[in-house]
Amino acid sequence: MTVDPQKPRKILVIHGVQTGTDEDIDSDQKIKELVINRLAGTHIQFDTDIYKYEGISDDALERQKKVFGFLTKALTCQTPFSGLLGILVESGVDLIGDVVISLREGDTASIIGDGLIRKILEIYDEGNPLYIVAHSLGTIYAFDAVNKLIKAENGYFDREHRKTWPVQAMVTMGSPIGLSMFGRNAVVEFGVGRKYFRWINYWARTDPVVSGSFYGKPQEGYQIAEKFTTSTEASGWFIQDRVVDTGKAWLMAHMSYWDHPGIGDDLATLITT
Amino acid sequence: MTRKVIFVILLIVVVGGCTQYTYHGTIEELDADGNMRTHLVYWTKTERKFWFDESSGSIRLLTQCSLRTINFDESEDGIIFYSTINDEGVLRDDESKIPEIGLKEPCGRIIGVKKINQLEEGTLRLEIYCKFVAHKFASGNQTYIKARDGVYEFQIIREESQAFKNGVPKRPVCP
Repeated sequence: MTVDPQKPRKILVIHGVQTGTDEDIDSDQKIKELVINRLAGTHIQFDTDIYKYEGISDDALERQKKVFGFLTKALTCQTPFSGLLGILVESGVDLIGDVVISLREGDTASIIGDGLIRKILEIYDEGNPLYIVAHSLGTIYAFDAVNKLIKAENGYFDREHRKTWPVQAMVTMGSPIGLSMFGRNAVVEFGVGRKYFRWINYWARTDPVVSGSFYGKPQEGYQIAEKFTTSTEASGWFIQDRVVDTGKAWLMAHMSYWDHPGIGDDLATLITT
Repeated sequence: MTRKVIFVILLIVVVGGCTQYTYHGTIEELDADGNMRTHLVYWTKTERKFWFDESSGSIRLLTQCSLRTINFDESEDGIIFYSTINDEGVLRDDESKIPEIGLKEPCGRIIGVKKINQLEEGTLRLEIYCKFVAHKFASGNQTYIKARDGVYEFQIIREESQAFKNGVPKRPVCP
């Protein structure tokens, strides 16, 4: 099975930490709107899809939510703020739980990761060149999935033949991948060859998920993902970090990649090359 | 207690005022295919009352009737358009051909400044040394401004915008 460069391009979006349910997530539509908006009338054949895993996370966190919900009720049932507090606690468990699941790399993280690989291979079987756009915690799952597929001995990612690549390029936005707590610091090499797999990592200086600073202390320098570059001929990765000015700060910056004009302009180039 | 104070200050900063500016300019010049096209450059800056000013890490160059976006990225070596899988070198300062250029080598450069936040309205000067190289996965026109042994000069204006989402000019429309 190989992909056909003449077929419409597909962008697979992988969301980050999330409250609510799978039904609330529409990041794929945001990316589609962004690219179309920035093309200013120029037509290119592409579509977007999304890999949602909030339902899997929610199922895994059901017990913790119940315990914290019970404790919140027991401690605050006499106050007028108990309802609001309950919502805050539930959202907190939801968000922090997503991160904990990823860090523990246990069964739930494996289910999410395996599901993403299955989704990638489904699109690969259809023959559409695929480009990944991942946000926040989703970038960790995306990074792992691509590296697992490079490592797998199934004939994927033959460096000399892009048609064998289930993913043509990867974009990460607001990624915590540079934080030591996630333990990622190297890519799987392709082997010697002439083609390069592209990874563009967009980050905002005050994004606390990128810097790990709760207070949004501005991150200095230029390189996060580029530190993963190996200089050997066998690398096969072309990694670029790109700093973005979202016009926002702190957590608002973290949520502002989706409609960033520069990312939209870059995506138009990426998915057509 | 100190942390609470910092947090409150941060909240004021985050909720408080900032002004967003878009810097942009166009010129009419030949693209690498020999067609006269409009070429747009833009970048952004956010100025905050209580915190540090921020600028985009790249200056982008978009060419009319092309899908290509060129990024001049701020780096330790200046503001540079680094070659990607889509570029090949065509000129050096002495006009000799470059048969093969590796990845992440300079394909262009902003002249006279090292940091994007040092740029203001007025003349932006840049050089281009590469052109698009066709390959099987490239679709649509990917041409950009023609490489030449000389400098391009854009006249840049600054505009305040409410949000970058709609305040940044788009790729020049193809006639």
